[in-house]
Amino acid sequence: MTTLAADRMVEKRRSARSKLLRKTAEGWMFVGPVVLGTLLFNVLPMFPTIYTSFTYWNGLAAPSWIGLENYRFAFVEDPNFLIGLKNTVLFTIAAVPGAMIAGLCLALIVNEQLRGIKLARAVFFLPVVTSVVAVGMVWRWIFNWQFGLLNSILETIGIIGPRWLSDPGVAMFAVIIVAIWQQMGYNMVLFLAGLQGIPPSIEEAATIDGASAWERFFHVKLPMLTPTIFFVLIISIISSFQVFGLIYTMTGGGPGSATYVYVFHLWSEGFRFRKFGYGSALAWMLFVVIGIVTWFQWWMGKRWVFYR
Amino acid sequence: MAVSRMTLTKRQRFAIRAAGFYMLIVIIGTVTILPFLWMVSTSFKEPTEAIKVPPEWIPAPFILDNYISLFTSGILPFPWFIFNSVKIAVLVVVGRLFICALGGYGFARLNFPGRDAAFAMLLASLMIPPMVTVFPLYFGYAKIGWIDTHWPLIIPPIVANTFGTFLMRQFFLTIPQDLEDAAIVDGASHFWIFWRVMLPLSGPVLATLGIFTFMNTWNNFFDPLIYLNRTEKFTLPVGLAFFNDEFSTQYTKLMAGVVISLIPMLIVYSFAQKYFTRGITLTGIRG
Repeated sequence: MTTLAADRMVEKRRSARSKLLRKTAEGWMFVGPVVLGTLLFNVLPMFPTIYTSFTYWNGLAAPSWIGLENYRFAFVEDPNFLIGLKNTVLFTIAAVPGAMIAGLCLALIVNEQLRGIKLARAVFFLPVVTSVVAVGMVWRWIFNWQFGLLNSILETIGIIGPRWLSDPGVAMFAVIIVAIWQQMGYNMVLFLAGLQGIPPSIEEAATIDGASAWERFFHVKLPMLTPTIFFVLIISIISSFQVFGLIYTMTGGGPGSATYVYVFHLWSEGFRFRKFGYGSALAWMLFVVIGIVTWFQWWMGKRWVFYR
Repeated sequence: MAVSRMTLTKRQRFAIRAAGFYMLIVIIGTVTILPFLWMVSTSFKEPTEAIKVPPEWIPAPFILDNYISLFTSGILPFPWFIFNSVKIAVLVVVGRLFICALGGYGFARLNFPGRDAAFAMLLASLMIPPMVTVFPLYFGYAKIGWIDTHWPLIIPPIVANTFGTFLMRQFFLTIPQDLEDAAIVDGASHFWIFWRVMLPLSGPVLATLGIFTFMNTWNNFFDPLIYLNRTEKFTLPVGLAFFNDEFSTQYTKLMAGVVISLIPMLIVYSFAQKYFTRGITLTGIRG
């Protein structure tokens, strides 16, 4: 090869390399902040928590290894652990289907081509944008068994209302109602999108074939909605497992431990009593449970979700 | 008068059906709004009137004392709650829009080594519940003196937001490549394209992301709860919860506080309601 050709080849390789370097630098200048930020604040902190879940750690001194003691303590000695778990499951079982059914009904209603329907959608969605603290405080006042709106209204029609948030048997029910009230608008939006994704031709075909409104709903709309239902179910369960703010403001976990949910326990043990090690263990158990439940839903989803 | 099915015209059937729907909407709408109305009503009442049975909806007398007392209280730094919430919300919205747009553009249009791996990492990070990172984060923040300051509420939300990056990336992917190619042929740098071409086009997406960011930041309760200690540093949600704890029977003042905390959100909501709907439908992001 002549020196000129060799020079040219080296030149090409060099400029190709510097071009690659420039592309890399440019690209990373754009995505660097998000990637680094996510890594630093979202991903990396997850790993020390695995370690600290096996330690005694008060957040000040270094964590000291205690093996499975945190986990053993949770299951064997800490009654609030199982109570928190139970209440969270109870809450989820009631609030998730409740909010989903309410959301679906609302979506069916506001899907109609009526004048002013957009206002209706706006109204139903309103509770979603309010903070969980505001919601908790207002409803706590409404549920006040002595002076609150609910029992006052019941009294005027002759019913003595229960003690709501002061009654261990009823408190969770009250919280669930509020949770449904706040979430139904959100589910409504998702189901509405799902409904509007159903081709009208399918419905028309069903009507022509003589299907009644009920039949049209159960055998046409519902199956076509299963992907949306699937999605809403998954995100609803994940979020309801982590309910905290509503409990904190409405009941503080009480009365007694009637509304004492898992994340409330985690916050209390971790940040009120400064048991960071125990808190880490509680956090990882939550993560694992959520993971298993979500995976299970994915797996089941293959059976009942109908894709066009 | 008996009307057999066959004599109802299509128009009449439609009217009956519509009436039924409207009735449903009014009933459910009223139930949905009732708590808000009651809250506003209580906030203008005197404490003795608030607990009257049967409930009075129109406050008599109608007083502003509850609101005024929030700002003149020696114990509760309520104006600070408002200021802190506003400050943090504005900073996070502006910062996040910029960082997520940058990242979204980079992922959408640029080709560089490690891009797909980095994106996969972002995707995976969505599955991590906040609880599982909170203890080391708290410890780390303590080490760098961020506890009881607003930094943990500002910096991480700006740079560690995956949904926002997704949203921007999705959007940038829909912009025709020729626009960029033309600019590149003219010798433009990618940053110039980003700043002069992409950003101006992304008004609606930025609005959607901005509104969700505002809502999430304004309503955020857990993070300020654990990272802030002094009451002057509290944001509105934490300040109100503190108020709720300490003065749990002063319902009229509590309601006034809640009303104030809702006003900014309601204003944003009334102007931008469709962005909420669009944002949720596009990505499912939630509060």
